[in-house]
Amino acid sequence: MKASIRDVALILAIASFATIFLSSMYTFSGMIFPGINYIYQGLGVSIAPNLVTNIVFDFRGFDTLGEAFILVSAVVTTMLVFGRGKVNLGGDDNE
Amino acid sequence: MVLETTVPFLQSVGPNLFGLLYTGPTICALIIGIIAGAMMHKTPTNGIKLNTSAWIAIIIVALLVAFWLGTFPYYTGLNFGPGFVMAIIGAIIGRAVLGTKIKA
Amino acid sequence: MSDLLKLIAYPASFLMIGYGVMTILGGHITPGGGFQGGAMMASGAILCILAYGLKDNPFSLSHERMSLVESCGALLYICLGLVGLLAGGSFLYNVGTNIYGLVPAGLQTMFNYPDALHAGIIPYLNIAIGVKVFIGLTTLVILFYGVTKFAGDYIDNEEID
Repeated sequence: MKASIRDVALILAIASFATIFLSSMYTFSGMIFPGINYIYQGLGVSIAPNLVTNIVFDFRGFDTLGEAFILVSAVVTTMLVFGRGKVNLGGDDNE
Repeated sequence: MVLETTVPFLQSVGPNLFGLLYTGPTICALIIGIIAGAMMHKTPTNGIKLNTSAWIAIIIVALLVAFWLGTFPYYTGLNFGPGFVMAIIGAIIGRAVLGTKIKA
Repeated sequence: MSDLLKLIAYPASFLMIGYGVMTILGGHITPGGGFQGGAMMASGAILCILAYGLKDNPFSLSHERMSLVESCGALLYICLGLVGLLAGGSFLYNVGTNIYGLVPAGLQTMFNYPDALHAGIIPYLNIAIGVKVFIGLTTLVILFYGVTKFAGDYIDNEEID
């Protein structure tokens, strides 16, 4: 096909896809159900003012333990891959 | 499932230590500073030796910065953040007590 | 690096460690917390590594000392979780603020952070994570700074840098 016909087809396809997608997103905004959010916001303010720290360290503290485990495994993996066979981290070994 | 008991809203407590500061931030900042000071060498390295006047200058700068920073929100009492100064003092103490010596 | 950089890098690292501690201890009030404060503390040590190199560093970067401090940070987190498990309730139960009333009042006042707000064990968890991240990020930068040759190119246990 010629380049100009390909450009027209591309513009029509993008315009139709954008219209359908944005109209469906606009309809979704009235159908969102909060779920357990009213318990978090009603109960969390009596523990600490920062709601993010509340959820990360109090309601979902077990996932933060997994995050600390990821830090350890990342350092070990980097040392294995980039160590090039000999890793000497400096400092004294006599203590 | 909603809790039936009523939970009290956020209430503030007055200062504990001498009526001006809180015990939590001062003592915990000292402990973290000692841990950070344990990672330092005790003897001077590479010809850079800091005199006593240099350490006093660092402490004066730390007091000025703590006064300009202020306290955390919801805290009543003195308008001075003790965590900053206690961390630096803890680093100095940790370096002097728990630091490693370099041989030769 | 020149002498002026070496003179100013060491006191500047003290100020960075102070800022990092302030961010860790305000984790339940201001934006911040354990991970962010630990990264700020690590940047103080990284400044000294960049200015001094790996030899003659004011920080002692030996392997035993750093692994000891990092392991203590991780174990403190797990031990605080086991307290909640053994005293009734569940793992990582907030024994400072006793929402469900499962823990006696003596244990609740012992583990509460003495503060203006009754936040429970959240600041202690922040401190454990902060110390751990400080050591972990410093180890990564030492690794990328020090290892530049293959194993066969080192002659007779030659030192890095």
